[in-house]
Amino acid sequence: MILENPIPPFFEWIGGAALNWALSVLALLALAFIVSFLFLLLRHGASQGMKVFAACIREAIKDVKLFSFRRCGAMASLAIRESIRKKVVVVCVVFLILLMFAGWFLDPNSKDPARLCASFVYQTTTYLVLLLALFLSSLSLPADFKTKTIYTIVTKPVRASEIILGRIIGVGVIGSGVLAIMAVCSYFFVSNTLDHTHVLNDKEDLAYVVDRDEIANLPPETVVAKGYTRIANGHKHQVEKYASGELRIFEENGHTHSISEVKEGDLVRYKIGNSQGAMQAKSPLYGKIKFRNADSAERERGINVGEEWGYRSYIEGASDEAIIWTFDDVTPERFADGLPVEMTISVFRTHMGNIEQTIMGALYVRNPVTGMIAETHVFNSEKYATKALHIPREIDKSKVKSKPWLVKKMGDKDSFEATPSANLPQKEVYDLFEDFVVDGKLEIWLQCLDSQQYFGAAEPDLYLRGPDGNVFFNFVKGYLGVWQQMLILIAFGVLFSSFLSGPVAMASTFGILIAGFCKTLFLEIAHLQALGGGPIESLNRLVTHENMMVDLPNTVSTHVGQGFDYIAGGFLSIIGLALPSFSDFNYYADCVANGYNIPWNSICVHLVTTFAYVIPLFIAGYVVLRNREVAKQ
Amino acid sequence: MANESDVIVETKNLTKTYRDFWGRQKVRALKALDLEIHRGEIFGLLGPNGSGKTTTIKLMLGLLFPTSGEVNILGRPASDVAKNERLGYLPEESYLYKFLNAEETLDFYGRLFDIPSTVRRQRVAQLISMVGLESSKKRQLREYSKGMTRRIGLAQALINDPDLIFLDEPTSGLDPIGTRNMKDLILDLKKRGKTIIMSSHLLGDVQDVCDRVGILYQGELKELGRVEDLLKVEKQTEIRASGLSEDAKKKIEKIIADDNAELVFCGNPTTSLEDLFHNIIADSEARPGYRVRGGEAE
Repeated sequence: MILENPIPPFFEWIGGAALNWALSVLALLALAFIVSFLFLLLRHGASQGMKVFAACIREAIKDVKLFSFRRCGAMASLAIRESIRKKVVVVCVVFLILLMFAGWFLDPNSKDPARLCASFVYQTTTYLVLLLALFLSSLSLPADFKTKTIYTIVTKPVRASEIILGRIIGVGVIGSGVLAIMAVCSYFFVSNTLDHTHVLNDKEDLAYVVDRDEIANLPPETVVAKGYTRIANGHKHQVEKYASGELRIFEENGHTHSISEVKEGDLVRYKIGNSQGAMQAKSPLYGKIKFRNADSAERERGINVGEEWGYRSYIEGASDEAIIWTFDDVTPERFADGLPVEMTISVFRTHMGNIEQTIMGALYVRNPVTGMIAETHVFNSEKYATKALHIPREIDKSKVKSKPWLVKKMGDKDSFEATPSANLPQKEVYDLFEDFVVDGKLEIWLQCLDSQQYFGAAEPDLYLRGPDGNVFFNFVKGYLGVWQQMLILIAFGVLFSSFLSGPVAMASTFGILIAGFCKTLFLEIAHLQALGGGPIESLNRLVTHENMMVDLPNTVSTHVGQGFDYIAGGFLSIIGLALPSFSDFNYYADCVANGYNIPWNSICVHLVTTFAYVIPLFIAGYVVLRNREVAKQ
Repeated sequence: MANESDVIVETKNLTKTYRDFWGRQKVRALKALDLEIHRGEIFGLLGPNGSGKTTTIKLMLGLLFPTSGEVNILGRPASDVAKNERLGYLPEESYLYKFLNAEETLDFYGRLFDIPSTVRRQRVAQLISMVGLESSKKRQLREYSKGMTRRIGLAQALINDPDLIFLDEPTSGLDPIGTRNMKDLILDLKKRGKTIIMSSHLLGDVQDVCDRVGILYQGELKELGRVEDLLKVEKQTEIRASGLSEDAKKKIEKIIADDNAELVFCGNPTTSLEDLFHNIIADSEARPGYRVRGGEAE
């Protein structure tokens, strides 16, 4: 799975993030205080202005002290009841109809049906739930103003904070309920779509390659019959039968099946079970990547082979270059049977050679302190093909290099300089954890063995596979991403609805949604890094039909436009940095679609991020509503 | 005269000016209103449309902010939410959630006062019974007639057993029976020690129930005082008698003439149309088949 912006470990991240957040919120609060103070001074004069300002502060403190969760609950239950009575259930019906007809649009012959189905349900759910949240959050409060029902609320002892939080919670509960229904329906849809079996007939589909009478005399691992299952769900599986009577069904489209033989007299039937592993919840343990170049020095990046996308970095084949992953917490308790390794690497050919032939690579484990290294696998690699390897716990002495492999240390704290010792342990069989792991740290090295060919990788491209998570639970966790996006959107919707009319509040919230999804582009424009320049320069190019790549003529108007862009860019940059990055939450759906367990670390980071938005938005909504003349026409 | 501590609502130099988006003055809805309303009285705000009655009530409730001056309600500024604990408000139109039924409506407003659920249930039942909506309590308010909505609106204003009740055009949209019931209820609330501030342009209603009235015109308080004092015609004397003979009438006319006074009217008094209507309804209920033609019973 591609992870361009890896999620930092929660406890490393939270300190700095909380400090930044607190400083930003305090800066905003200070700004709000200063502006409102100056406004009151201008409006009421010095002494009266001070009095009003002090009264406002006193009221705000009282509002905090006397906040009632019961009243807030009443406001929330009103919002829930309103949504239900206004037939919010229609969204669920639309979703079910989409699921019913989804089969028409989803390719049954897809090589990765699990990813296809999961992506479909997550995207559909995201759009529907966010639209629902958009409508409910931005229209509810303005409707109260329009029908003046707000008069009967604010003349009760309800505080503005209770009204705002009640709306956020109420709409949030409704959205969560709808989301839960959609999650369960989606799971059954995906399971049902992926579930299938195949037919395999003896002799017709499974052809014997040896004389059946001789089978009893053959070694048990000898293949005696080969064939393919009948096609189902757009694919078939290769099947092999061994002399021992054991049957093996090969993986296809990311899944396999159980298979058993049933004998009825002379007749042999094969019973193929439902698909297994179509949906997974793999728990990867990622290491830190670095590159060893030709002069044995460590580098953060390898060779640039000229790809525009700099996500992966490369090493040259048939050289001392290597890609190194350093893993922590590699303990016998976690990996009692050795290390399951999965990798998806990129192959860059400088010459095509024999296109049928794959590129050779080798995998090593290395003691980060002594530098002792053992070659565990030599393999063929295809571009972006996921390869699963198993590093055994016991490593034969023939695999271990007699001399340690040294690297020149890079100046970071995670880099190790091996201290070569002449007294490397001499054993017949080496133990992975005793001889290669130091304090839970282990290095895995990858080399390309073919001359003039290159291997490329990014940090998440190789990982140790821990015990899988529960597929259903992981599927449900995937909806947390939608839930968190929904909460942020609701908070924006309620804030805008506290001072704007319904349609304007909805348009503003929608604007935040779009800008949040395109945050990267927004920041590129703000930082004047987008092709074609800033807003004025782009407009200039549009009007003058000027190519985006050429410089504009050196005129006063060009400089004025660029100057404006520079100033506007500063403002846009602040807005852009404050925008929530909605696309970051797609990480959850990506994890599920690619068969990875969603780590609790990312859930915690995103959850804290969500509330880091919701809390200031709630406070802003409270301040606005508290100071709004409810009955003003 | 009520003492100082009995003042439950007080406005000082209360002014409200509506401005447009650019801050330009649109209209001055209320000009320097000084007013004191005392505990236990029914105070009526009178005036034609646009005179500032509703603006005054909204300023008192904190729905609008004064341009200048101040309002104190129950000893607190109008902007203090805590004042609402002891306050009830029936708006001009019953602005209620149409998707709720009567029971849910009252329960919801009860929850806003943090009333415990057992007390709330009892009070909801009492109020529904009081406004005569038992048979319709499960129907959504969108199905209610205007009169029914008005009644449930009144019930929500009383859910917290308030000390001070604001009634904005309380009889608007009610039929004569509803109007009479509303007026009876207002008088009953007064008997229970409540203070009521009502605005109306139906002068008869105000006259029937209010102790004191303030008359607003173009945002200014033109008159303030007790109803009987304001309505008293100082230079005329009213004598009411029953069974008076024609001779006796002539004697009275002679006395008036001897005193150099002028007889303005001498004849049979008329009842109000409202009283006539209620008498007919009451008689019809007591004697089915009873009909009236031109004032004569058939």
